Amino acid sequence: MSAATIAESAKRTTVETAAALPASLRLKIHELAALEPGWDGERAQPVKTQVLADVVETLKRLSRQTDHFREPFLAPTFDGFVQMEWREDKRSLDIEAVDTGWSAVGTEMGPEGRRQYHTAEFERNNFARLKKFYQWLSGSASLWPSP
Amino acid sequence: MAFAVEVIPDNANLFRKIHRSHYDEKKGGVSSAAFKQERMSVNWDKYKSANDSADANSAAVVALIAGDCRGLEQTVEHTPIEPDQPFGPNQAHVEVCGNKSRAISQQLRDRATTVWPKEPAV
Repeated sequence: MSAATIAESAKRTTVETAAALPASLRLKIHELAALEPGWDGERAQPVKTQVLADVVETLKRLSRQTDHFREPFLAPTFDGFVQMEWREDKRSLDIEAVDTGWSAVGTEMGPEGRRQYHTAEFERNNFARLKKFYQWLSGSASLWPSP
Repeated sequence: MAFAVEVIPDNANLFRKIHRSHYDEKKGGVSSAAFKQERMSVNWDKYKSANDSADANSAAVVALIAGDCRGLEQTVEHTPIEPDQPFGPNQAHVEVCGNKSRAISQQLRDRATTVWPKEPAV
């Protein structure tokens, strides 16, 4: 079996494991898995299979462990990673899979309508921390100083 | 004859095409993932319109102001593409260069204005 066939099979398995997620997320994951090299019309890389698998697993755990699961928007990065994005009225949260784990950026409106930006990085297997960021979005966890 | 390399003024509009995978149709928002490249290609409005900056896979075109980019520790370089180069010719080609890790890409996204298709009036 060729390396390409194995990679294709791994990607298919990842898409299949997303079956427990809402239909719109499953569709997006399918689209991410299908991105070809140069998908941006230039030099973008396809999404790495392991990264997609980590995102699917994380979303499954989040959906099981939270009362009101908010679906993120999923976006590919040009270097083959994936970003999960949530937008609420006053806060937003982007969590990007990076080489070293997860990179999070939270934004919230401060006094006088000025947007505040907060950043953090943590390991890919640190689900408890990721969940805390997700809870910060709804105001039920304190992570960064309030503006 | 090669295109002249010019200095981009701070008030220049720079158009960035947004791939459909970076556009959240449900909420009408652009992902910060569209602004992460170390050398990010844009088109200078002096030579190319927003409409002409889109391609078949574009969901939107946003405008950034050159001075705003410089305010985020980026350099703005006119890098016209000659007819014999890949993706050429493009006299409007500009690159917004610099590290876009952490919150820089989010700030670029937040400063960008959707200009194509035009945002509906509220």
